[in-house]
Amino acid sequence: METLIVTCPFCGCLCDDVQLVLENGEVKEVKNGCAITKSLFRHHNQVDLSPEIEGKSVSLDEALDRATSILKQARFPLIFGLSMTSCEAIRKAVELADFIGGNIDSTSTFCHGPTTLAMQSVGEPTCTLGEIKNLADLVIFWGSNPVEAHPRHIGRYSVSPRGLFRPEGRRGRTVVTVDVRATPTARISDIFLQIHPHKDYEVFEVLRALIKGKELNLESVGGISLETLKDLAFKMKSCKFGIIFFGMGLTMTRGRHLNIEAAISLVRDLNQFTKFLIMPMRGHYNVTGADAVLTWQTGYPYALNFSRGYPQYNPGEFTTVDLLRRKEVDAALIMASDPMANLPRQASSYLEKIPMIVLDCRRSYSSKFATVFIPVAASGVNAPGTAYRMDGVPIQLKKVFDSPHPTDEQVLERLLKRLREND
Amino acid sequence: MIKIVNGKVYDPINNVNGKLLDLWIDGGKIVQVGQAADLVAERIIDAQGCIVMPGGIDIHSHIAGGKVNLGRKLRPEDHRKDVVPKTSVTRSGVGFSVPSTFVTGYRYAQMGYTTVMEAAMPPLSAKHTHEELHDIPIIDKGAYTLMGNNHFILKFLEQGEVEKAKSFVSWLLKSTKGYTIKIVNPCGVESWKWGKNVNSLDQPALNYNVTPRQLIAAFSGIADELGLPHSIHLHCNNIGTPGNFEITIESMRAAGNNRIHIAHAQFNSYGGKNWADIHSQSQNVIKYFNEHPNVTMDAGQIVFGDTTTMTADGPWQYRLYLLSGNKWVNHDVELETSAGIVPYTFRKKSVVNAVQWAIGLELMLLAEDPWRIFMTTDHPNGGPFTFYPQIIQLLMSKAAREEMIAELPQKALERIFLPQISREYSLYEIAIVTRAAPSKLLGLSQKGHLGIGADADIAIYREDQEPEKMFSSVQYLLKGGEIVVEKGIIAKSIPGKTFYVDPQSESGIEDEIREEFEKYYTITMESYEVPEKYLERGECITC
Amino acid sequence: MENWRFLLITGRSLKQGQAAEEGKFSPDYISETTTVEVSKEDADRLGLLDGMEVKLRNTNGEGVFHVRITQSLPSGVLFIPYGPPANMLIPAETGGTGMPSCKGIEVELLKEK
Repeated sequence: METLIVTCPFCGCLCDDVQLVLENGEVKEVKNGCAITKSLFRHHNQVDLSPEIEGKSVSLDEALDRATSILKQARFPLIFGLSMTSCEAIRKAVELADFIGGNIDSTSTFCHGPTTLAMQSVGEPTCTLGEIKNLADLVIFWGSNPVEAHPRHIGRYSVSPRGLFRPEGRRGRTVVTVDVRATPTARISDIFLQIHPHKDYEVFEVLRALIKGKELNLESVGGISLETLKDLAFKMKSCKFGIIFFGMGLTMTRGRHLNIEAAISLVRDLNQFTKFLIMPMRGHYNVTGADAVLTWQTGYPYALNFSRGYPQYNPGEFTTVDLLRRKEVDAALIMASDPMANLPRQASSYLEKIPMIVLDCRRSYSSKFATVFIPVAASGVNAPGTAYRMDGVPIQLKKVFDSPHPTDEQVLERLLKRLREND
Repeated sequence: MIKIVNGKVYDPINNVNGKLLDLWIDGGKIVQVGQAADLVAERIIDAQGCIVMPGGIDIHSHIAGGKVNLGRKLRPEDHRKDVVPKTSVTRSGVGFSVPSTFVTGYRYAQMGYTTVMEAAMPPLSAKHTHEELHDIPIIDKGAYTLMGNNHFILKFLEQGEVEKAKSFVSWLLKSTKGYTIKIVNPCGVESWKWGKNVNSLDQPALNYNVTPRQLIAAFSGIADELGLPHSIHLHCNNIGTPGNFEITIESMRAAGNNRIHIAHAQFNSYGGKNWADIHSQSQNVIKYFNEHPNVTMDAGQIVFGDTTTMTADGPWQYRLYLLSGNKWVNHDVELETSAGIVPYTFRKKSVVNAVQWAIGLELMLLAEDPWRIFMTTDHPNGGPFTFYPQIIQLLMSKAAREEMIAELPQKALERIFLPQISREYSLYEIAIVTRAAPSKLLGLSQKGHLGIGADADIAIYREDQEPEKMFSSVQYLLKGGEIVVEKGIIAKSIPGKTFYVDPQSESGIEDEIREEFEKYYTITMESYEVPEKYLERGECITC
Repeated sequence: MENWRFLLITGRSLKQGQAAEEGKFSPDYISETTTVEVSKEDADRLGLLDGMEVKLRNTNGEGVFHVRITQSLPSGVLFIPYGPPANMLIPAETGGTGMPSCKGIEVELLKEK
């Protein structure tokens, strides 16, 4: 029996205190992980996977040759995914995109892309998660359901922990949820405000007016009474340290980045009265790392194109859903993501019509439709690497189990080598 | 073997002032200087009509890490101004005030620089700083570890446990692979966690009974006791605030006879009570500097135009947002530090900006000892590093200064000394403030000069009447003996080294703080440390 | 067939996350991603029962889902966990933002007779 301390490679919590109890190489127990961690480390077996071309088993070299040929012939290829692998692999992906002059985009494109757009417009007053643990006395979840999407968030960072200046833990915090439905997060909150769909922007703007003491001629907005909002405004102004965590409820609804601009502007205005910050709940465990690597290597975090020999950034033009819907790309390399399962059908269906290379650690939806499927070692399970938590803190991923397959970093390196030789 | 001939060599550490000297390079080092009948070079570089200097050393720049990257993400509009296509040897990217990592390396190299120090590294995200440094090609680098608002330091000093603070500093430098102690707005940033700040050296941090004066004294003593090659690097309290010159002088005084480096001193040399009467107090700041050989400083010169301000001084950056109305990013780091980013444009028509512009130059021109003062813009705070040649011209030419002064508002002229200063830097002095002095201050004895045994980091510039033109682009740059720039174009991209220190001190502090660390931080102590593999060619400099 | 209009929200559920780790062809994943949560109020009004099969459709596509009655939704709103079945109903238009509208989409609910 041995106990390993590992980092869980699932969600933006990136918990680095997970204990795996192993016996004869099998997982006997998972401590400090959530239900998803347990599932993840138990289903790590990759024995049955092999590289495939059009569904038929082939050698790795044959698969690489075919993939090289696809990328070489493509005039407007797309490299997509990136958020479920290590920074080391993502760097290789950018190198490849730069070399072939293609498009590269991460899953931010249909997740917190709008948050980036808002940030580029108004900025972002934020912090690392430890500030919440140690200082926050007012915690607001807006359009975000961590109990189901980031299960250890409330226990490890935002609601229950006893912090340096919050030794009382849960009792020292007021927790508010604003959501369309009464999620499990709403149920553990002190206050739940049920908001009408698509009304977040209006509610934020009303709050901005209320905190500045403006009188409004309204009875309610977005299904929430003015009195309730006045009370919330008061709580926000009078807390010692407030935080808004927000999620897809703001990014995916009417207004998109404008919702977030409104939220950020409210938080920014609150700093005239007290300390108040905001943080997006990044979903996948290394989407923040994908953002970071793309930004430091190219200047831009997603929706990138290299066709002119230099990085261009244009959400709406080079974002994946748009590229696919308009049928503009002629080949795709999917890495560390499953777009056929996650994208709207009208976009993902196009992937069936073009040559598609899929690198994944398991049989994903997308791999079923792949021209070339190359199984790779899973970062954080079969391969080490670096990932960035939702608040930007870099944490090492460990290798726990061996894998017969190469890492995606190694596969990309080999593709680059073949492409350079053929050049 | 490479030989450089016919060039006018400027090597202040070896007292060479524009002499025609041959340089012989082999195995990454300079092996001979002057005539050498017995040596044969496979490659001869003809530096006819050129000057030859050691590669430039930037002692304070923000090029890598969390806040720099937030700055990049924040400003697509900055990048679109300056796109950089790939070549057969270089990666593509973007430039201007927050360049992408590859372009940062290429541009510094094209300007003749071979060593750049990242000025502020938060320990919690040290891996991020090192990952970015890894992707900055050609130049050698190091990073300064932020400590001035660290929970453990504040706690130890509050309890009077200076020895423990010292052990902690040593451990933190090792863990983060840092080069020296960086202090930003001591005690002020800790107060900022609650939205507050400190305004005097004797005002304690909000929740710790320690004052900035005590912190500066303790850190400067610790740096000397640990024998750190570079002194503490201090970004003073009250940065950017009218009247702050006094706290700057008091901060220098707080270090006593210990070494202390004042970062971007221009931003801390203001007289006046408010923006309406802000004026230069460079003379008083420089007076203390001139009289105290333990003090060094870098200029923090501003450049008129658009740029991106970014510092670990959270409260200052918030103020700058309030003053400018521009978009504002804030990033508080648990138990350690903060960061703030605000785009900003320095305007000639602004009286305040004109005064700031003059002060940086005044400090450089009034300093009596060029071995203790360095030319920087606190990139990108004062302006992008690509404007260094413009600043060199202003230092070397009173006429160039007068041309600029003529465009400044009359009101500004009443508040500055610059028009009265006639000193002009010589090439020799430029070589001191951009090469020789920084290498000495950093304790990098193999850099900053062209003597036998030096690293072959050599910049060759075509001579020109206009220093700005001369220094904008090298004819050749050698880095570690490899020719990396030819005729201003990157010929080869090679990785640089990362320097860090490993001071000796009492071990055991990690065990003492472990429980508290894991109680209040949100990662394990094991996750905190930076393994050597993150450093591209890491090199430990002994203390 | 009777049909009614709703706003559809797609999102994460713990079960969907766990099941995805098992594999997207696992019975658990398929079951969870073809579940549509309906408020008790609407279920009572429309005569829907737990487990009942219904069809959801809009201009983007359609799919068959089984009902799970819940107390957590307001009337007029449905919830389906992220997955390929829900993606049939989500438009790929992004309004120039890159982000499709995955929450608050208009759908019709048809009771299979």
